[in-house]
Amino acid sequence: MRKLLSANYFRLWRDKIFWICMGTMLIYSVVYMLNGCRQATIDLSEYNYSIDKYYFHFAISIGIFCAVFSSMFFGTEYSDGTIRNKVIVGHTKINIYIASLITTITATLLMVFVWMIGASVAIPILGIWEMGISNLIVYLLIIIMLTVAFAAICTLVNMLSANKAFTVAISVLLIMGLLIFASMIYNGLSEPEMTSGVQITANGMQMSEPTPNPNYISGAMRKNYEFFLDFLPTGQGLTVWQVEAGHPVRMILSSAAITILTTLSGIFVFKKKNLK
Amino acid sequence: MDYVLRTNALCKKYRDFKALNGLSMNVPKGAIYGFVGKNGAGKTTLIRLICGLQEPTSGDYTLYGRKNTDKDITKSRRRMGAVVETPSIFLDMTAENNLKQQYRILGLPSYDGLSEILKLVGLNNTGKKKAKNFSLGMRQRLGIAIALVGDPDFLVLDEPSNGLDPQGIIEIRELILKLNQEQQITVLISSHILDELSKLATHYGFIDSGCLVKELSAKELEAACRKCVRMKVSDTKALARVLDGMKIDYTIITNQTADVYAKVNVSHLTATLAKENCEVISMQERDESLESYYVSLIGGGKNA
Repeated sequence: MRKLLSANYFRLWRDKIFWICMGTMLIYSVVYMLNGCRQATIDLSEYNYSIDKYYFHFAISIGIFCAVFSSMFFGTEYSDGTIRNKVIVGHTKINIYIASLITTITATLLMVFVWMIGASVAIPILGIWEMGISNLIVYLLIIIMLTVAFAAICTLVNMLSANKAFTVAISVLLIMGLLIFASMIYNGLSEPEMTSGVQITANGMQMSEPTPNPNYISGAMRKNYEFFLDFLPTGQGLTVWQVEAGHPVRMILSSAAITILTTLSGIFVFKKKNLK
Repeated sequence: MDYVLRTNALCKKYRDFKALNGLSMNVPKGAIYGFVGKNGAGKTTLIRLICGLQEPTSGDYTLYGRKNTDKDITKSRRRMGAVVETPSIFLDMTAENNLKQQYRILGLPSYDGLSEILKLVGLNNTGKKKAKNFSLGMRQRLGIAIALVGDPDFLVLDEPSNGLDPQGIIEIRELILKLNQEQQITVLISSHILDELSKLATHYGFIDSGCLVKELSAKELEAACRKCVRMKVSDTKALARVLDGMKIDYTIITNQTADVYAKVNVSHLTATLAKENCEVISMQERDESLESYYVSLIGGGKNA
């Protein structure tokens, strides 16, 4: 395992896609945070937004970065046939799979780290986090775990598909699909319970009596929606971005469960896979 | 005899297609084992199985005395290097970095011997040129160089001359001979180019429809392919007496035909046989090559 990781890291430091993703993440973080600073201090100054409002924005996009990087990085092992070099000299398929997972986790966490460094550009303007150190640690834990879950999902796709172009397309589409699905759930949960409109009468504009919102999700369905939003790493990303993580333990455990399930099933299929 | 690889009734099925059908073969230590067969005969499938890329459906094999089901088979694999179909190289890396990557995969503590390997395969002057800019022959040699990292005792090469120009074919041949003769590396080599294979191999295995049809040494093949004159005579006993007297090698095929392994003076032989009351009915010169041997064994083929 140590040998495989050493080989993977050797290649990682020389991999163009990895450095492009890192560079993009850095530029993205700086530009986004400076824009946030402008918005918070000029456009929306009355809202008194803190750095918390902007700092976790990457949580919704890290899955895409993970998918692009890992599918290109490990897709090359299939397209160039170099995955064979590992098997031929006696490395087990289990070790190859786990080493790939650890490499993907490392690379994606490094991208997260780069965001955090780049996003610190806003600290002199917006100040430090208002959520407090304990909350910040909880959020960081959720982020680390959702990153691991993303890496596990992408590793599953990367190791089971031998076609690089197909792997890239499927990985990105899968994460995009999960993101859209999570957005739909989030929007559903964001519906207000009661709505009130504005009526124009002879006496001028008047607020109408609040009426129940037919789109409001309640009861068992609301619990299911909440569960899926906490369970999916894309849902967690949305919640973290909005600084609304209500069930941190459930979110962390969900990421752990996704990681374990995808890794076990991935190893099971990869062991049986006929490599060419 | 010590064997590096022995397979026992190996079978590999892909859904309903039997790629290997009870294949048993033996690769002796120190040999260059030429593996000959048509396209789709099962050569690459066998190589994939012994490299651990795929699992056999049934049957087994031993690599350096360890069965494929043995947990320690990985230790035997550590002693082998292989180039399966296309060379397994990172196209976006230089030759040196490709080798360094393999050193790390093997967990070697230093890059000792790296430049010697590059020199051995003639890639020591490629500098920062990436493998994607290499010619096919250079890529093939880089693939072999990667297979040579860690000083393997057993090298498996699947169609190493495929797509190479004549110069490339000669370079690969010389490299394989050098590795076998100077470093005592056992080589299993599959090839379509029978003429090329005949310049290398010390042993042959002929595969057809997933079965090993014939396994023999180069000496046995040479004997089977010796230049000879096939004679049809009225009395082979008389022919044998005459040839013994002339100290000429021969093989009696039937009571009327014999193969004579020498260029004979036809007039002299006919006259001597006439004295023994033996008539010469016909004489035919035969010159069997590996190709004609293969054709007579397998029954010919469009792709061989």
